[in-house]
Amino acid sequence: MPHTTPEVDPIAGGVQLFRSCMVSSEYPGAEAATKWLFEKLGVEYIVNPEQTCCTGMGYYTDLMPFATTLAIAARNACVAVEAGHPVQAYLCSTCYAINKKAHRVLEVPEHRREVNRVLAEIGRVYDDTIAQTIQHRHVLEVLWSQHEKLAGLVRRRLGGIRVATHPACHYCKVFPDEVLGDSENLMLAEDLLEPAGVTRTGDYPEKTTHCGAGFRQRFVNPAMSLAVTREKLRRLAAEKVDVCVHMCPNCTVQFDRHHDIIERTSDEEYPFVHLHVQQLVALALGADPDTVCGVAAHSQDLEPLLQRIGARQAAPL
Amino acid sequence: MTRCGVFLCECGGNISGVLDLPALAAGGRSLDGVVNVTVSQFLCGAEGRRLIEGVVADRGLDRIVIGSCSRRFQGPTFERIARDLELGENTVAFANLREGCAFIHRHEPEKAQRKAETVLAAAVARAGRQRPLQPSRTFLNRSALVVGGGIAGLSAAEELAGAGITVHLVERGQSLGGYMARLSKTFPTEDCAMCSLGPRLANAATDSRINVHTLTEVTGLSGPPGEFRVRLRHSPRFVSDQCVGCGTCTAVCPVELESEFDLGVTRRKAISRPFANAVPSTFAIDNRGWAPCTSTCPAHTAAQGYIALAAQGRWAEAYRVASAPNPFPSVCGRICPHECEEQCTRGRLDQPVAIAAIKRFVADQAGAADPVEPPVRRFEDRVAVVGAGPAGLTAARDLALLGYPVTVFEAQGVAGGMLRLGVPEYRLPRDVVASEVERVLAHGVELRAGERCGHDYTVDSLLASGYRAVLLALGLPQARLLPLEGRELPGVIGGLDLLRSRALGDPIAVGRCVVVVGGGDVAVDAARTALRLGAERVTIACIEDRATLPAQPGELAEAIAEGVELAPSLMPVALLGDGALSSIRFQPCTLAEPDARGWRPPEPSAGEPVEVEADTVVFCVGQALGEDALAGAAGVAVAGGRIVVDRETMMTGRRGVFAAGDAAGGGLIAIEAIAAGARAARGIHNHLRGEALLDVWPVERERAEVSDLELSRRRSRPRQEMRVIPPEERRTSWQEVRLGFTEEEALAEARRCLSCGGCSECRSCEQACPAGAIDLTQKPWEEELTVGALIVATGHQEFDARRKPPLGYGRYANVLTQSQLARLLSASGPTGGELRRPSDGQVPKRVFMLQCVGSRDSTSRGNEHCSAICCLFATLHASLIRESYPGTQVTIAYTDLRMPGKGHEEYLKLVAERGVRYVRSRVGELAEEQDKSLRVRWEDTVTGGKHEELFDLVVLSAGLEASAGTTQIARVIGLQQGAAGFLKEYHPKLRPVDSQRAGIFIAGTAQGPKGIPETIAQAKAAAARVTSMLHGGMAATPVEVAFSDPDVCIGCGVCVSVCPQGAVRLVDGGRVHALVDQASCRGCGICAAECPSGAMTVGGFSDAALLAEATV
Repeated sequence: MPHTTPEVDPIAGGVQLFRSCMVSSEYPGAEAATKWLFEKLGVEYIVNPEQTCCTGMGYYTDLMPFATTLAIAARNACVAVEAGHPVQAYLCSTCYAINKKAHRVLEVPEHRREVNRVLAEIGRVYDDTIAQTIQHRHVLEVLWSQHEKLAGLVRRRLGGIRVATHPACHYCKVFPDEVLGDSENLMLAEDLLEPAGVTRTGDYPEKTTHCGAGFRQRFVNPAMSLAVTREKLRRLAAEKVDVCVHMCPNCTVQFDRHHDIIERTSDEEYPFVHLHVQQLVALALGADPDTVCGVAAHSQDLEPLLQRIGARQAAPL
Repeated sequence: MTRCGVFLCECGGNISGVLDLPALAAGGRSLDGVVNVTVSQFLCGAEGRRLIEGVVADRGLDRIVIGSCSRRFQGPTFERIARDLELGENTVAFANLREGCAFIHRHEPEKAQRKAETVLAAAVARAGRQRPLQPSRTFLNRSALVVGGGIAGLSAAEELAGAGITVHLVERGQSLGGYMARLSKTFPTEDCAMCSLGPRLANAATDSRINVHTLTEVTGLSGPPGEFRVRLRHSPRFVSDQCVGCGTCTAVCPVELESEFDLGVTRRKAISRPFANAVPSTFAIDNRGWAPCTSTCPAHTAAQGYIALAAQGRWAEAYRVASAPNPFPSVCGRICPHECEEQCTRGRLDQPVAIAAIKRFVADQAGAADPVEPPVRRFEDRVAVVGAGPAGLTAARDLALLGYPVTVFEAQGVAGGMLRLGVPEYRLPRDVVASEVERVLAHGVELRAGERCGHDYTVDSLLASGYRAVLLALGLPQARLLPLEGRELPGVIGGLDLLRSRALGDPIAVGRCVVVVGGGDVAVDAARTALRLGAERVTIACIEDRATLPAQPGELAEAIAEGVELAPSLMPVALLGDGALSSIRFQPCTLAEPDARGWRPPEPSAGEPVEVEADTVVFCVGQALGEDALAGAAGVAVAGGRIVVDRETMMTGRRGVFAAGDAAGGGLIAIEAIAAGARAARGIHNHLRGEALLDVWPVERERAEVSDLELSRRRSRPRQEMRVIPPEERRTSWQEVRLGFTEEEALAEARRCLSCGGCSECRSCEQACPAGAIDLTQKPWEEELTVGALIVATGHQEFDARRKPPLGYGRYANVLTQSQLARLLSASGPTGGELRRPSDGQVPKRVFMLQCVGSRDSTSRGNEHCSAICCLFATLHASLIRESYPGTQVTIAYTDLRMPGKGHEEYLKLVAERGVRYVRSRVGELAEEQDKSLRVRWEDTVTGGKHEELFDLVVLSAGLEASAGTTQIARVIGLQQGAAGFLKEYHPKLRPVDSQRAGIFIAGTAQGPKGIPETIAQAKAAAARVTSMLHGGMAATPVEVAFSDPDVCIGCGVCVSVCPQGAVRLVDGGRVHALVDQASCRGCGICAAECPSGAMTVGGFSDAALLAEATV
């Protein structure tokens, strides 16, 4: 089946890999796999020690006012431009949406003035130059810009592995018109995996339904939160998928950490696992499951899948 | 000095509410040339006209400056006053005080005032420099072209014809009727759509003033209003007017395609008629060009045709199609490299259709049972065919079918050529070849075997003995050996000799260690034959590397599986042995760049020579014409080892002598030789009859392509794999390796075909049609008509609900659109008017209708406009369902209910009382359950409550967009489109059916969403506009057209090259200069801007006037 994700130009001048609190603390392998893929595909990148958290978790759990989030986004933009890497590549869809939204809000003179009043205290200013220079990309978009190289780099064929995407809400629904592909049937992840020979699921019932995490909902309304997750698991099981791939650590936490719990409490079986897209692409390209993909940080047992795709043997050269 | 009067309009406060008009008037009075300034409350009305008339007369004005709204809005009103006052054209100038000043600077009155002062001064300055112009008169053709055969086009045509205007009604589809023909009933009266439409259709079909052109598109427009020249392209219907509409053809057509008329709810045949009352009633064949398989096949076999018939188990008919261009379908089903499969569209989706294997099954299944009737002898001209290979035998059969007596001469004792003597029997059993050769001979072809050309007879002797034509299909029977040291050693043989000896049963022995030199199919055949003759070790050594090896990959893989070894990138340098061959020496090599003939000679590369043990070396490095074969054939030229023929006639340098196959082409695969033989037969027929009766090279059709989008909607189905004998069993056996398909496999595989070409050209309809109406030779044709005016009524299309993936349209069986539901509810629809859900044919008990799909949608995937008819359309269908199926609940989820129009609100009340549930809501994603029912969740936007329910059927009220035809015609004739592609009217209130181009009018849903009554009213309004325009037969041309001053023009021709209308040409009146056809000129001014000499000007836009205006 031909891929449907639109072509994009390679990003000139490299990217700043925008580190994510949730990725670093929950699934460090997703970050390591991304860096490994960037190196394989020749994407120049930096990690900027000046960069700080996007504050998404704080904002969405109502712990932090938006003005704070806005000021921090403005500062993060300043340091990225200063570092000469104005293209921020996000591992987490919340970081992506928060920063992109802040970019829009900072076009409003009143908000920009207020933010610059605060930034002045640390000797910085968010001006037109920064606003016009800074760019926001999900890491999958950066990988897609190099997708033609993937076929030649595959070392482990994933034939017979059926993959479905859980499209991250904060990637697809906050800026639906800027999504790479169809925001209501995102194929970016599956198209990235196509050269590895996976079977793509494409559209499936409830594809656009969210993961159920809802930031604080997971903690304050666990029954509702997990009911949504369960509905999604049922639909994925009906599609007979082997791997559900994710593009946001918040979704991965919701699914990976709760998959077995929901199975036990519902007395249903969902015979598949969850991975970040980058982890599965890296495995196909021959990455080590432990040192590159960090599979030990997952709650689910990934060993059967790793055995099946031959990832427990060294990849052929 | 001109005398200019300024008239300022208050526009009922629109202008005077922002601008200080008395102050503006006071300023105006001091401007040069102004003799009077007047302010009026409404300048455009009757009072304003009287005012202007009075002042012009009293003050002797010769120029008028109007300070009011935009010239586009009311310009014609004031220009007409000037014309009536005999001031002449181009005597009015305009200062836009309303849109340009008062409206846009409403909140900045000071700025507005300053701008108004400048605008007015500029207009006065311009007026002073404008020179009166005289219009010319033009002839008006009293005919009109109506584009679009829906209810709008039909209504307009009827009205025009009634006014005595000749109408050309153009429709791109195969029938008139448009969207309305699909509807079951119409709101709010619930009367049958066809009952209103039917009489209009009948009228169009019978009114002699209405010329109906279906399957026709407008491809060009030129000329001025009143005398438009319209180019039409008619697509072939492939069915002539002799069609009696009996439908026999659809019963036999094997190709099923999605029915556009039934909007995909059902399927139709490739030959079809959309509905019973269609006008014209003639059926049409949907031929989208040649499928890639047919285009690719050298003989252009209608592969899609025999596959379509095979998919229905119609083996005998499939055989007829497969054998029509090729007397050897059973052979080709086995040995053809099937390039057709490489090009098969299905390969882009999953794997290509196994075309060759299906062909083999068809031929094996039906070939023997298909009797051959010797054809009728029509001519006495005897034809001699020299060589009984695939080319010669194909030519012989085709000539016999044309009615000629044919004799085939064959040097060997058996017929079949390379098929019989070259291809080993484990690939192509002898009896398969023999039976197809027998079928050729059964056409009354005489075979004289064992007679060799150049020995037993010559071309001269054949011609002398009364043959009127000779075809040389001699093949290349001579194996080439390389001129290497040791070539004379025993054990060195040619590949063809080895294969021929085996085929003829001649004694032949190979040694223990066999090395085959060569990389083509013959090398692989020789290697596998050597293995079966008992060799212990067989190596294929070739100069090519693995990637560029010319042998068929499948054959090579089978050989390797049997134990043949491959030694690529080696060139032989010597054969070694003392009295007997003991080894062969190779030098590692690479291939040089291709030479002029495409041949890539080997070049020795670094590395030590390699010596391979060999007691037999088989050379498979090319073939040559037989020695002396062309003795006694004076005039037949040979170049590069091949007989030279004229490509267009297949004739050699000697009149009456033709050549085909390997002897003329060299290194052909079987199907190429067969195609060449067929071409030669046609060339010979044309020669003998003395005229070009047949196309030697078939006229190719365009290649039919399936878009990626369409392909992505098809389900993946794996290719049937053919069973083969395991390598360990077959390496010593002569039994056929590939076992062919079972009937079940052949059926399953044939059903994978995507029918890319639409019509498969199987010609079943042609055979079945009792009226003889099928004519597959029809070609597209173009014509040019002259008409006075155009009405564009190209309609709308339904929003493609696939653009909203969460609604599951196109993915879930029981999600339909309202238009599809209309087909299900229509008595003439696929279910005869019964409501059946697609997944299981059951009557749905719970129906959910979702409004505003793609309408009132500000995301990029929808349209912002309200589609105007959906609330009523859903209400109508809900009402029809409730009446026919009282046990079925209908829920309509709406954003707002919009029911303007006569009787509509009352209708809504009535239907709500019939028990239809209306919920104001926002709907989330639909999800299909296992029983194919649909789970719908929505938020009630009145109460805020959340709901979840199961439904048996979901119907989407998909909105309206401009049709593809609207976009196409807009591009061709230069009309502007607005949001969602609808055509822009000249003015939404004052000229609602005029397009932006003079003489072209618009009507119906091409202009915007609307119901049937409004569509008909608009169509009749457009017809009235055409009637008033063409009334009287003559009209004044606009004065704002280009003019070239012949005294100034230097004749450079730049204007000719830039004019988009083609209205300028160079003439030689003693001196070359430009001449503008003012009737064709649109006044765009490009020529004037580009003119280097300044000779070209546009009326009303003189440099003097523009400069005066721009420099105040």
